[in-house]
Amino acid sequence: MVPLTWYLILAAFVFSAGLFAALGRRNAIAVLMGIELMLNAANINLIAFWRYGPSPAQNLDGQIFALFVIAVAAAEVAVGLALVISVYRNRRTVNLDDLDLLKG
Amino acid sequence: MEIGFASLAPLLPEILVSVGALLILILDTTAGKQGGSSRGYMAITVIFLLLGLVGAFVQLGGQPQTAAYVVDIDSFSLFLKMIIYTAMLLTAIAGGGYLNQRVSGGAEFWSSYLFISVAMAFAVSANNLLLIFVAIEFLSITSYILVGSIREDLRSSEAGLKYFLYGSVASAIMLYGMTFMYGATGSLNLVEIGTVFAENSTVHAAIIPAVILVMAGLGFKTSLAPFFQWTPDTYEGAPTPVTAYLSTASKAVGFAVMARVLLMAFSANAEVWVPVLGGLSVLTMFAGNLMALRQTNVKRMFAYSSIAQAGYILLGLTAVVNSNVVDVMSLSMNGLNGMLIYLMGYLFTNIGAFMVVMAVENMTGGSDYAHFTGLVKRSPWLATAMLVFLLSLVGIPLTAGFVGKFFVFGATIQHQYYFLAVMALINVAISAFYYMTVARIMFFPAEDGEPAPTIGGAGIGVQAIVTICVIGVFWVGMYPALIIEWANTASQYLLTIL
Repeated sequence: MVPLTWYLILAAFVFSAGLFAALGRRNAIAVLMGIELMLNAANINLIAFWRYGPSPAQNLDGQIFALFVIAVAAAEVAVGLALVISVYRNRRTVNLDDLDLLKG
Repeated sequence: MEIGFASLAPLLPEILVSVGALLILILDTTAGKQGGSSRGYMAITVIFLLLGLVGAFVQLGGQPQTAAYVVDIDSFSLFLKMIIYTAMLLTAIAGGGYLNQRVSGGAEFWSSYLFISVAMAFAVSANNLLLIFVAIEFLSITSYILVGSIREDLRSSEAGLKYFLYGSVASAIMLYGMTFMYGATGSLNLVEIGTVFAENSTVHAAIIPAVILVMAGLGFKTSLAPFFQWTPDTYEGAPTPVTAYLSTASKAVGFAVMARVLLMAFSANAEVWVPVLGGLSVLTMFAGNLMALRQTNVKRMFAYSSIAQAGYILLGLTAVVNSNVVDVMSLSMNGLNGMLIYLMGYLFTNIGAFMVVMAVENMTGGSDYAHFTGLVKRSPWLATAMLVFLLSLVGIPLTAGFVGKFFVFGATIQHQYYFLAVMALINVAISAFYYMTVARIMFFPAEDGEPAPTIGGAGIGVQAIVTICVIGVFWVGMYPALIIEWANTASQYLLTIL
């Protein structure tokens, strides 16, 4: 079986890529994609920890958690895109550097 | 595991509030093309929030119980629930008129408002990582909607998007930290996690990353130092009543969850998180106070002030006592009760202050310092009330802010964290400067400054709630015995839970 560490390294890589996109990109949609990557990195972790845990057949906590995360991520994207659209209607841009009405 | 209907009985207040939220949505679908009256939805909101508050009071005397295996109904969560429902209730009554005028879609707004209250009630009662994550996400996602709910307003939608982007990054980081807690211990229950971390030293490698990642997520909710950038933008752009509850109820939830996670899951590893909290708290106080000095907009100034106040509140959690070493029951200051008392006093102070800001926005069309010039002539009562709130934020004796600071700083000194106490006192001195600037322009406007023209009235609801908040500030400030007793019971329960 593939060792647990490999999954954790994969998850850490996906998480870092997501964090990099979320902090570095100036386009709101790209930031949203970064956030999705971060949530999915957590999902990889949860499933890996569940599978390599003491009793994967009886204790399904990790799987259930991952399902909830998927559902929450969907809700988050729905609201996020709605907010992006409402900003786009008002300003015709989704570049975060142009959102500078509030500052100081 | 079986979950019967009977085990859900302790959740009755939250179930009722959710029913209210669904009722609003159903009424709106039957109301036809015109849509129902926003004022009616607001009335339903107020009634159901009142039911929730009464429910919390009724449960206060009872034994701690656990509903559906994951929701703890104990004195700690009930204390927080009282703060939450009171905050939401005061804000709904005072801010209803303001919101109904501006917000498009009254039914969506008010049902989300009730759902947020439910989400916060669950977040403070959760004893399980899964429920904590889901409740905090529920709270955050609905808050993003409310912040951006004035769709035509450029500032409101910008504030909503910024809050959303910062917030979802923070909760993704928190979730990643939670996966390590689960991976190291194989459990999602906070008490079981705490037991494993205390007994099994082979999993200690997971503690530091987990604490840091989870603190990043919760530090965002409570606007602690490195994660506060969203606060001023969101507080300034959001509708003022939404700002009022974000700065009180939502912040209280962040601190409550932080206390639960740290004291239940990491109680045996205090040496890891106490220095982290102490450092964050000093950074937060300085960042908030120094940035507040150079603001010209009262709403934005209060946003930075709320960052600084979060630093003081965090001191209480930093100086929390170790229940394995000392007898918690014999101590009058255990740190955690200071945090709870502070949150209760801060609730009345900050909601009152934001409601005065809202009234001034209604009267003059803005919240810059210029709009507050000579407020005492336009509305003597609002100006006087604002002075009371400002004095309470500084921490003048006889006000709620003093009692909160007394318990928080007292716990810090008792713990011999003299450095933190000195830093906090320096910050109180800095904060007095900008709070009193607002008082000065309200009462003694400069000669050349022309007061802004009056374009509207304050409204009777706002006046009433501001009066209640003034009474609340003096109640916590002068007769705090009851609050202290509740806070003691709540904090002793959480500290001795393991």
